Amino acid sequence: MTARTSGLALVLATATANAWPAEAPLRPAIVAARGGRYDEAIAAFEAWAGENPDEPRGHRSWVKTLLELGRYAEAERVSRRLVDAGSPELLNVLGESLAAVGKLDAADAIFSRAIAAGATDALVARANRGLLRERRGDQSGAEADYKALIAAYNARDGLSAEELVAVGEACRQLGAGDPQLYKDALRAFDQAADADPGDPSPRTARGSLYLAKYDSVSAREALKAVLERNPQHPGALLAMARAMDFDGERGALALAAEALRVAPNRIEARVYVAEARLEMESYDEAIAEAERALDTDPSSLEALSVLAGALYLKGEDAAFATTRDRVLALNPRYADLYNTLAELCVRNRLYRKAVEFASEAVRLDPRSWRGHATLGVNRLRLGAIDTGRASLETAFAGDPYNVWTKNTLDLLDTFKRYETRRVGRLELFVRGEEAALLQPYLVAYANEALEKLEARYGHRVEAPVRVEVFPSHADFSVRTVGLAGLGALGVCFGNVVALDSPSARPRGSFNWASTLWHELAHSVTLGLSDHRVPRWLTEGISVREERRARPGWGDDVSLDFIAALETGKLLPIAGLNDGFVRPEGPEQVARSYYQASLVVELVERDHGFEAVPRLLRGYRDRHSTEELFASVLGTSLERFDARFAAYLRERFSHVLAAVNAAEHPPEAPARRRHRDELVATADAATGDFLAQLAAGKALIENRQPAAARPYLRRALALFPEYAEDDSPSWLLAQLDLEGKDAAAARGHLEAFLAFNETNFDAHQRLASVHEQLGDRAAAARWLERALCIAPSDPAVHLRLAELYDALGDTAGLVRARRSVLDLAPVDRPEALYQLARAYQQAGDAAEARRVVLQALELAPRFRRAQTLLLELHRAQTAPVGGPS
Amino acid sequence: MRAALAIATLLAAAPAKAAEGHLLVVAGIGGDPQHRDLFHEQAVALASAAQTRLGLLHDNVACLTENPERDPSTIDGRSSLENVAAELAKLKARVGPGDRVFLVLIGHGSFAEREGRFNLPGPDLAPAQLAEWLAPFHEQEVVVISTASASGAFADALKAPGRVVVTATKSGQERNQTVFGEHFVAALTGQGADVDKDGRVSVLEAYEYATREVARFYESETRLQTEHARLEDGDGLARSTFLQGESRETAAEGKESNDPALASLYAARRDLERQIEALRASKDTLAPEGYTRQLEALLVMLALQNESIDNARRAK
Repeated sequence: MTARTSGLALVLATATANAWPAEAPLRPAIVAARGGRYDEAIAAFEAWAGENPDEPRGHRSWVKTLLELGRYAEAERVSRRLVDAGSPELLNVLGESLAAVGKLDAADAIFSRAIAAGATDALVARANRGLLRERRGDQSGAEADYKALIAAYNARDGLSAEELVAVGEACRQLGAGDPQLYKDALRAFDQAADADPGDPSPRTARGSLYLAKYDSVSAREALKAVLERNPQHPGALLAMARAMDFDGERGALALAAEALRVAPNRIEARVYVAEARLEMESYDEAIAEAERALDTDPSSLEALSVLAGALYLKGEDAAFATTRDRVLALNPRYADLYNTLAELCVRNRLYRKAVEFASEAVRLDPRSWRGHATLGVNRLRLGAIDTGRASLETAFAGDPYNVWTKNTLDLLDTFKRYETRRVGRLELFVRGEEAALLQPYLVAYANEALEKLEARYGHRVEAPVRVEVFPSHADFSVRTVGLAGLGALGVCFGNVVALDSPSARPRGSFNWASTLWHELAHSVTLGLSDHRVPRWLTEGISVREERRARPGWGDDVSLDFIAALETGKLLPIAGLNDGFVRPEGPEQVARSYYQASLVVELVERDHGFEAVPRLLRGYRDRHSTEELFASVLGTSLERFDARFAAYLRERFSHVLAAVNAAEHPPEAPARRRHRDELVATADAATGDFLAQLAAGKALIENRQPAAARPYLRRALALFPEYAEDDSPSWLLAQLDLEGKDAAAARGHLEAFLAFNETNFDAHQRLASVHEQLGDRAAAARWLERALCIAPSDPAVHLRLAELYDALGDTAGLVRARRSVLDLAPVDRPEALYQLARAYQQAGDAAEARRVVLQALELAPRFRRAQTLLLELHRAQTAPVGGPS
Repeated sequence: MRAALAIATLLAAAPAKAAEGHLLVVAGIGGDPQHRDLFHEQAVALASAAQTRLGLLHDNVACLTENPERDPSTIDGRSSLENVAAELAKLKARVGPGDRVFLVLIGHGSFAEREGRFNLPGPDLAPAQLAEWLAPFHEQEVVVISTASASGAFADALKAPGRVVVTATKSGQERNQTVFGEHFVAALTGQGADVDKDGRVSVLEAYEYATREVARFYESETRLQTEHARLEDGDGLARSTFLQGESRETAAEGKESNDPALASLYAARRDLERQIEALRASKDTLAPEGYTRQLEALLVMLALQNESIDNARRAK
């Protein structure tokens, strides 16, 4: 194949420069069609055909335009008339018309007739027959046609653009067996574009191939060129939609809708929309779209596959089985049925099921590299690292263009630098240099979270619960989605959770312990619902549980949320998943997390906590949100939305009254105004939070702390939950500290940290204030909380050690001293000595002795350590004499 | 008899001058108030600690900064190029063979046209110029420390036998403001870097302390590390060179060596320390349990020995 391929490249020197009919009267129709003026084009074709009823090439162009628009019945009628009249030139497009509506036997026969008759587009017919045979599971028949195309291509000069596109398609199909052939496919498409620069087909095919090989940038470039000439080209619109989807860009669905407006019967557009609906967990809409596609082509494997997926996710097992069997009856080797099912399961967090489906895909077709890749990634998500790696190696050997596979394999190569440690039910996977420090804290928080959450929800997460911590955010991102650039901090795959290490992000940008808690809450809710809980609800519960775990943890109300509430931008329950899956922007994601948590709070308030696990169990039993809101909450989604809106207005009435979002949109900060003006505004509007805050900040900036205080106090009273770094409580606390008023500072710091989980400095200061006021236990508590933001600051551990020493908390003392040692201090003997002393205080003489010996091995002259060694020695043995 | 003779000989030789430590601190131009303050504070802290905690003679410590009037009791003059030259010349006149000479440059550095500069008020200091001024100190142990940005450009020009060169950056290309200086000064003047607990901080200990703390700083700030310190120590002097003179323990041992009882105890202690050193050196050849057992026994004996020494001292 390779030799033939290189021959292809050499031989393909000439192509027919212009494949379009030369007849001048037809040009207006063709130009109109290529410009997307389809009505005008069809009218022109009809007019031309009236005068040229037997001219085949013009009719072929007409039929192709009809096919592009999905007007299959008309296409069949027009082409059949000339075929019936004995012209072989319309056989191929007749076959395409038949194949498009699922008349596969007839299409196969017609393509064969076109080939046998030596029609001028016989090569195209051969490609079409190959595709058709592949669609029916006849792989060897399909390959024979593809190879014949390549042979013809190598033997002949002067192929038309249409023929070159057919050759490119043949190369693309053969690429599964030889990835180098994808390059030949691209070359053929390029030469087709050169042969007929006005034909959109080569560029559309090129764009689709790039996208299939994970290069959305090149794909979009090719498709953009098509759409610039014809903004209504249905194939290019859909391919662009998929490219945008690939890039996670908004607007993909709108493009697909535009494609369907132009060509309502285009199956692939319907399938895309159905897939998108599934991603939004709108199963009924997905089913409706798939069925509309099947109305056009009952044998569409893609439409049947997505229908099967929707039925499976909806829990309609019998209908799913019937649909699955329909697919396999049409093509017993159709691995993409299971690939589609596996990928839909992944999108719906059903990772175990995804592995089952992907396994079935590669069983049906061992060359389904897509299946191997899905299998590998999801085995990793289940914690099966070795078998996951093996699947990915197979996938990469067959499809070396898959960037997810490559990235994940690269990441797996770094796993040797990680330590895996089993502690009870937990399996910790932490990079070597961080392992000793982080593991005790991970164990403590994970065990506490699991214990409380499992008890609350009545569900025990299957062991081992694997916690992976990545010091590089890019690695965490690859672990999660195969690519760098994920915005999340943590992810849960069920009983495997992964998160950024505290060292992966700048200090103060996140709280790793609350993130861990959040992900473990997912472990419980996913497990209880058999992974069928909607995204919005599992996120809402996780945020709610963060807030329940510690004051200050979890999302809280923000200016953006208030603005969205005020301007009606919050999503209804039925669309809340979109806020996570297809957000309008990053702010909508943050808003949706908070909103979802408030939905959970309202459910708990009005129906009792038990309603929440009942909802989860309902999802497990395959009930829809509508059904569960009716059966568990006794309401419809619409009524709940109304109640929720009222709840929000009541709950945040004080903030709504104090913040005018229209005047102060968060995304458009006010122009810089002079201090006097800000003060005057604040004086005139004492109920305006932002005015009070701005005046307070301006006065602080001008070193007028006493003058700033009243404004900040008013701001605090108006919006006490505001917890950004310019929070009035935080600013007041800093003024208190400057004024040496520890008691006031304590109050303001506690008010601030009741809503802020990431401000390291504030945590430390509150600890100092507590210590100053004589409450060492509280000081230690806040320092422990500071470690949830940044655990690798030795000074914090040293302070904790002193506090625990004073408090007589020997367990805390040992932990703090151990952490200092784990931070690899320069003065390791000192750290070892202090740890030995801590063990001694804790009554663990053996460990104290072991550790002090380590200190003295490094520094034999270390007198304090010698003294401790003697103490331990004398306590253990009879008195010994001096050296002889 | 032989012992008595040896003591007599020692007493006869007593007038020989002990090796002394000398320190010249130069704080360069700050450029802005923040750096002026920072460089001033580091220079004064080091010069003060040298005279107080580290026991250098007052006359052996000199300090030049951008604004000497800020602390006339500690600062000897403005850190101009000619003053640096003059202080080095004075120092050369004062030092004896075997003395330790520390030159510490604190401030900004630059690198242009393939040459480094230490930025002083007025003309800057170039590596070749400094190398020339240091050339006469061939009978001394010389330690040059530059905490400046781009200071790595000085390392090749200054390295020489009998000399240790420490720079905050590996080359002249690392031109961002450094944090190495504050950690190196902290190491020399504090306790945290004395890892072997001999009561003194060697140049190597200070260097390792500072490099570790620099790395920690960048890690904690989640910033790409823009400075990588460099140590040029061809003769391995950094491990055994100290700004401080003898440790208290060694000094006491010297002073009390005329007490036979104590001298015997000291000798026994030295013997135990040698045994521990030998055991540590053979660690890889011993079974872990056996090694630990022997080590513990020796360490207990050493601790007891020190206890005996303390008791004997108290009894005097």
